[in-house]
Amino acid sequence: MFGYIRPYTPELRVRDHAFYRAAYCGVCRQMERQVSPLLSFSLRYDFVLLAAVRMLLTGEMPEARSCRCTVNPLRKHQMLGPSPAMTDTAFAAALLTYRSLLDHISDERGLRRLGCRLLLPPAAAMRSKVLRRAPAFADLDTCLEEQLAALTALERAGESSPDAAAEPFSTLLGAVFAHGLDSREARIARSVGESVGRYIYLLDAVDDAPRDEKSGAYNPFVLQSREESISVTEYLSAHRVRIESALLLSCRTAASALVLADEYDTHPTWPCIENILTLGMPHMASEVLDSPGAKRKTRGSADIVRTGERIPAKKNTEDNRGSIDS
Amino acid sequence: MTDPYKVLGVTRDAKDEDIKKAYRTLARKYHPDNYAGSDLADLASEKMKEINEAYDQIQKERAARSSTRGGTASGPAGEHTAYTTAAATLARVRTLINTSRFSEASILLDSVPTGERGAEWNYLRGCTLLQRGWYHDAQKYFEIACYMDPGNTEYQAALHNIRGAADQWGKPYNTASGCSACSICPGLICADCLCDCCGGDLLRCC
Repeated sequence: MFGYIRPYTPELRVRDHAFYRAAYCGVCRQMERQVSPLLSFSLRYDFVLLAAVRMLLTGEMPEARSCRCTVNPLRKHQMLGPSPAMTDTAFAAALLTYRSLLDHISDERGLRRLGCRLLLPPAAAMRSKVLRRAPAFADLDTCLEEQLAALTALERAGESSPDAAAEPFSTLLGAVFAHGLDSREARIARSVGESVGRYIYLLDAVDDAPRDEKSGAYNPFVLQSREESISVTEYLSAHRVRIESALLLSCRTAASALVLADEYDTHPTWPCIENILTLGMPHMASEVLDSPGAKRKTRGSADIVRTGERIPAKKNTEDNRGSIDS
Repeated sequence: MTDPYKVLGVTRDAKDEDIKKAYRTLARKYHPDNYAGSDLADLASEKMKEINEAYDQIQKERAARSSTRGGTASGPAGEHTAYTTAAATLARVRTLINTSRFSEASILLDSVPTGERGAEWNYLRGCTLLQRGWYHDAQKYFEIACYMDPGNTEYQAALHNIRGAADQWGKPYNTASGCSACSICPGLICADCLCDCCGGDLLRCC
């Protein structure tokens, strides 16, 4: 996944922030313990939402413990103890990592491709370990394979509708969120996953658009801009309202699905989830739309929470506030 | 049956206004319009029914207890207006959309030849996409419909609704402006002036 799903920390209460960090560290620990220490390098903020949503829906609440972390063993960290939601997240992450590497190998060129090829054998080993330990994940693995094949087919066919192109990834994430849950919870989780998947796909396409325009790689927004005979940057600014509204409405759909869960607002994960869906994701959307393709310092680096919060720089914070308040 | 007060998240001794407020907040949250693009609409309507029943029950209980007039509550219901147009196909599509048969509506829309796809076709296509959560494409078709038929209020309202809903999202929680230190003084002075007009005095100093 991509690291587009983060809380908006200035509006997060201190204890909720601490909880979020504990959940992040908890997921990381489960990745190390249940699958492989290598997997924790693929940890993104997105997985914390997955774990939090599943905790909310199953009603489980692991206790926070103080543990040392392999990356920074000198300091003790609060981390949530092992729980089914955490383990499932680690397993799903292993399958997703393997599939996304395969996807990169077919899409990328040069050094990036070589890098992905080198990482493939350990990722394949992680996948088989997951399937050995939790045979129920075989369904999910097949679903991921099918949906990514559907995505490749759409890309080859040159699908110019961003929503149509987002559909396979949306279905894929719906399946990841809903995997192994009971009927009612599974429906809610699927709906959340689908909306979040749509958001991630569209935002990633916006972010990659300038790069893809240069390299000629597939991107629905580049194809849309060609239909109007303008550059993709012009297209993105001309249709900003439309794209931003689509992203925000996906967040809203995810939130309106979650409020159908029983006693959602008394669960300790809710403040974080609410912040992510109502502020974090919209904020990220406007940040990416402001400067598509720009390097975002905080994007997806696994060590941010472990070594202390570095987001965002002071000047940046003021800018961000301005854009949210206005 | 579950405790109606618990359903609305209020205490038994809550005032009528608080109950009404809690009911409105919940009704807004679970309103069918919020689930237009979702297959969870049935779960939402269950929740809505539960809230309506709880509110009705509290109203009845309170009316019986105090024998004063009790408010009658009815849940907000989504209204679908059926339009008749010259194009029979599009009229059929509208009926299908109004009865939530979106995939059939989509197939029927696809069958309309490209040359005959006017403003209404684009609008209806937008409606079917909206239900699937394809918000980007839905807006695009609504925009085209508005462009082709600029005077049509229905198309404008569709686009306006979707943008409005998105606009309300992504705001910090504490946007409501309360009574601040700066607003107290002008408020008091204003109240004093009003009292002065009626012959009284609120603030002795002015």
